[in-house]
Amino acid sequence: MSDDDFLKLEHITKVYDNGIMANDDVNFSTRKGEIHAICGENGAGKSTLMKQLYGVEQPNEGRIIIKGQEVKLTSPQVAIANGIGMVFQHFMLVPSLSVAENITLGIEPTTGLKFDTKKAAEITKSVSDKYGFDIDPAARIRDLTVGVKQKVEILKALVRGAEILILDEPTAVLTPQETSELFVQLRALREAGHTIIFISHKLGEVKSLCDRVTVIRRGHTVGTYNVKDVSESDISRLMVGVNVESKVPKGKANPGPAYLVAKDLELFDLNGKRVVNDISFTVRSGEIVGIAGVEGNGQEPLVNAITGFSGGGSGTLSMGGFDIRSMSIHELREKGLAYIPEDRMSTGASGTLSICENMIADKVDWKRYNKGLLLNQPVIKEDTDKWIKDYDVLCDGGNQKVGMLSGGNIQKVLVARELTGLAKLIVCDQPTRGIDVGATDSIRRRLVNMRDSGSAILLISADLGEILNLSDRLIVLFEGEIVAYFPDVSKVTEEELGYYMLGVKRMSAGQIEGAYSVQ
Amino acid sequence: MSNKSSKGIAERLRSISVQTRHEILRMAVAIAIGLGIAVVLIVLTAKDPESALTYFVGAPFMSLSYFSHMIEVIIPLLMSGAAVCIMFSANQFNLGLEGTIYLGGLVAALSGIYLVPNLPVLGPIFSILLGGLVGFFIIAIPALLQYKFKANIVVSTLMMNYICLYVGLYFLFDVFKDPASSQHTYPIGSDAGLAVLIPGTKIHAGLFLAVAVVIFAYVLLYKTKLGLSIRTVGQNPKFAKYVGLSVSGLALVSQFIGGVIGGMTGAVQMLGLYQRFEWTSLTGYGWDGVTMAIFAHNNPKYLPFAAIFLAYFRTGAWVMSFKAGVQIDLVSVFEGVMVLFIMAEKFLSGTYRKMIFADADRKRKERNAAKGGEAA
Amino acid sequence: MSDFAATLGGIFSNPNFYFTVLSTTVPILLATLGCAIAENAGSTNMAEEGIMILAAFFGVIGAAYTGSVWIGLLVAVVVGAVMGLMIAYFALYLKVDIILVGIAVNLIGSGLSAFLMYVITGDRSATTSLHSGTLPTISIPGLSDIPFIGTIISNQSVLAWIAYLAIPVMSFLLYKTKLGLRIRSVGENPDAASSVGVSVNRTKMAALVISGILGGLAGAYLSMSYLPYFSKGMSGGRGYIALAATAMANNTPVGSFGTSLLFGFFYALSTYSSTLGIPDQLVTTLPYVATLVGLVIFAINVQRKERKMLHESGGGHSSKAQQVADASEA
Repeated sequence: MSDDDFLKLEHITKVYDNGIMANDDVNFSTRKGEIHAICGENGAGKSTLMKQLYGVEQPNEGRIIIKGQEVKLTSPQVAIANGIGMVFQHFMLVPSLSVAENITLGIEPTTGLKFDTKKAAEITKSVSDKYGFDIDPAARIRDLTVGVKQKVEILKALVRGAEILILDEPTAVLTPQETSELFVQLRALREAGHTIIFISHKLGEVKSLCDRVTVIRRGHTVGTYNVKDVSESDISRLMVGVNVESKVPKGKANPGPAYLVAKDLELFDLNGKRVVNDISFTVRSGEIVGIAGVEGNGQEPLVNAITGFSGGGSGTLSMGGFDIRSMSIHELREKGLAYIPEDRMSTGASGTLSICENMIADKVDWKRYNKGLLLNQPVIKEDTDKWIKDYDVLCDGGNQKVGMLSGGNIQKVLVARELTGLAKLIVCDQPTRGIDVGATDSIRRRLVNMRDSGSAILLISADLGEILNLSDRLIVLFEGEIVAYFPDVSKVTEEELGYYMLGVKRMSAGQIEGAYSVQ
Repeated sequence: MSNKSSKGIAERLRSISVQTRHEILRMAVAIAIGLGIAVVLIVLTAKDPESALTYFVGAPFMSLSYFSHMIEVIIPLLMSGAAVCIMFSANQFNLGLEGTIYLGGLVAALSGIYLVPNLPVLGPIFSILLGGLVGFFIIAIPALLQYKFKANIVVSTLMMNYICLYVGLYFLFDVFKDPASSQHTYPIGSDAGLAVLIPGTKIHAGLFLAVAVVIFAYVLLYKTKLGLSIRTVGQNPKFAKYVGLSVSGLALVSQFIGGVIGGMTGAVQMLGLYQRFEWTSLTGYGWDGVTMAIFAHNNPKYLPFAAIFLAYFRTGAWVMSFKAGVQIDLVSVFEGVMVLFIMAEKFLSGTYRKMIFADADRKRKERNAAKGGEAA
Repeated sequence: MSDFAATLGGIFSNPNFYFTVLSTTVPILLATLGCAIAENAGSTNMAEEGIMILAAFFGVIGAAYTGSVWIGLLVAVVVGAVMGLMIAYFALYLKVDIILVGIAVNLIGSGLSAFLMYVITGDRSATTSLHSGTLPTISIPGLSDIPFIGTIISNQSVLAWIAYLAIPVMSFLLYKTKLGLRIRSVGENPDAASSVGVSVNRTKMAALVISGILGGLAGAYLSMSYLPYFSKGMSGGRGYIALAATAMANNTPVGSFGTSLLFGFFYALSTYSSTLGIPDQLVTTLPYVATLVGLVIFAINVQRKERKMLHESGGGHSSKAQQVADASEA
């Protein structure tokens, strides 16, 4: 464990086409035969870094050095040839093919014209036996459990001679049993001399499995540490860091009755896995309730359920006294739901429609915008112009296509549309992610204004500064459960929040109960 | 904020987005390639290339009958184009217009023979509406099969076309055939056909309806909430669902409207140009509708230009075929090639990248220049 | 009615009827296999109609001008392959929607063949003046002596034999070879294929070229076996039928055989319908109606399978997962 030059990433800088700098002078190195964790908040730049290592993206600046040789990883094939393998969160498998066919795809053994099924099975069997994976080469992928599929992915990399194995949040989809089985195998791989790069938020797992950890924050490397020298709280503190943004001024909330009520709510994903586990909370009119948590801890299914995108599950979920799950999205919106989705380009806006059309897309039924059978274009234009002005959208006018605007301006259009509806309940999912400081500030001020004029606001954000600044009350989600509840956010520090978000600490049931406050 | 009135033409031109400008360029190059291929084929094959080319390029202005032929051709192009624009706007690849046109024509003819042979004005209107109704029922089958069972709309509408054809042929040959003929019905009543507008030509009252249908399609798609909803669904179904629209319901509605227009197209064509129903194969107007929608980028506003353009060269090719012995089928090649290049997203993409970079560069310079005055 | 049954019985006991079924099935089968292999690679090839007509035309021209039907066949195959390449280029590299490529190619195919026919032969409807000839028929001595069956399979065109042989060949190609494995992976999960270095575009292109070759063979059969000349519009919508037959066969070669046989059967029956006293047009409608029904059954099956998969993987929470799935469909 001395060869620190086994893999080196030096001064990596990556700027995406939309201008976001995902990696800013990142340095990273691993030794042969270690399990090296990369930790960082969402959007810190971990995935971008790994994509560059696997040849999916190319760095704008910096060097990648493998065994002392500088390499240009222009495609996954080149990366594979350099002994790098990657297991993505979303499996890259062909469901109708067998395990052996998936594993040998691209390097197929043949006899004459024929794909040699036997040889493929042998290859699979031999590598699977070598590392103690118990896998049936003839099984169809679609019949396998998630855990086994992941093993197939790992074998796929190993068959191609991967010495460096990147695992992107591998345990996110696994049961605890599958996780511990995976860890046994990863340790065996380490013994066999493989290097494993383990991307995770789960600090417990990092502590138990990894040798060293590199922490990345906002595109920079914070540092690399021996896992045995740092505690989970240390890592958590390093990851979260302190926000330098200015705060939006905000008075005391004046909450009314509970508008959004979730009681004993349980939700399941498409695989039937429980993703939200028995949670109860309320959002009252005139207050902002924040949900903090590392992404993937139940926020997405929760938001989908509240906004009518998916039904199912058990427990109570109501808005203004109406059962949410018995209503269509259209009805929910008529009753005052506003929703600022995380995915602004594919869900929140239609890039090929004009600003006007995007602005009134949810309001086409309004009397104001219809004159007889036709749309009342002058009024639509007038209102859109007013909103463009109010929300300070930088554009060439209401007829410009939304897709031509910058991210921050698209978000302003979206926020304007949502907040100019009834907006009795506003669900905001990462409302300011990836947009410029000016737009961020104006959107946050808007939300506070809406609160003061009586809207109930549910805020989901990975930006702790934002959560702490805007929320009146705060819930922390971890593995689909509420693990902390803060009735008064002003006393909470980012560091403390980090402990709960990463599962280091947990409040008692009695403390959490307060989240469900009808008055 | 914006002082539009003071904008000069140059500035307004510049305000057209790079995308639009690039689309116009691509369209122009596609047309040039199509025409180029047609010209080359004519020059290589015609006995007298010079006169053949003259007819191809100028025929509609050479005589009144040629000009009227062009107008005749425009009528079904406009109507089926409008139908396809509405369906494609909802992103529904419904190719079932052929069937609606065929049976719409048959039913209108039967109506003109048996139901309203001697009722002026109202009779033809009734027959055309009946054709529309038939179109609705025909399209409803594949549309509902898609809505309920997610049956592949491309395949089911193609099959529907043949079902319509053979069912129609059965009625033509076995039920309504004029016994004195081999393959047509009795003639329609004296007042059942559409009136000729200009004596000495075949330009018929269907032209008014075609124009009305195009205006209807444009107003529907761009001036009503239903149209906005249909386009929202077509542009981004996820967004449509998010703002509370019924995605599959709107897809259904757009196809119903398309089907009605399809049936009416057949009826108008039948009552405007024929004395008897004598179609023994699908007409091809349905496919023309697809070509039209592609040329018009699914916006009915551009249908008149597309229709005039296509009809102009179809007339040229038609005249060329009997004046200079060059087969009229040349236009299919010409149109097919243009469709390919107009729809090619990556065609001239290098130029596009240069254009977008130049635009970004210009904007940056403008911003830098303006920075002194308006500090943000 | 008993008369009807007797006539029908007469048709069904006549080996010539089955001979006709097999020969009318050939072009549909070839085109269906072509659509199936493209569909397996995730590309809907709606252009078989255009490929067939161009191949039929150029095949005849090639045969007439060289005096050899075999060269005619080769020309047809090459035309098919080139069309496949062209479709791939426009759909994969210039990013035209592949359905629209199909529509455009069909337009070009019907136009170009009719246009050139007049240029080359001076005929407007058919190339009967060319005397391009037909491909030989095959009768295997032992087999043709078997009663009934002998009549059915003897004197079928060499291309008919090729078409029926193409079923196992395509099965082998798709399920037993490296290329087939890649074609299926690219069709099912292109990201998976490209993540291990399989070029998605190149694989799709290979599938489309094979698809084009099969369309070329179908065209050659039409103008050099089924009829001894090319006539305008002779593909007669078989390319579209092939698309439907593929969809109904779930894109498998053996299934394609079944569904194209269905069409061949009704085609053949419609030629006998006058003796049955029922309108041939209505008989001709049957396979299209059957396809519509088949499509619906197929679509329902797909949905049920998806539900079942959720159900199984859902384990203890299956009923809840089911609700989620139902809600997301609505």
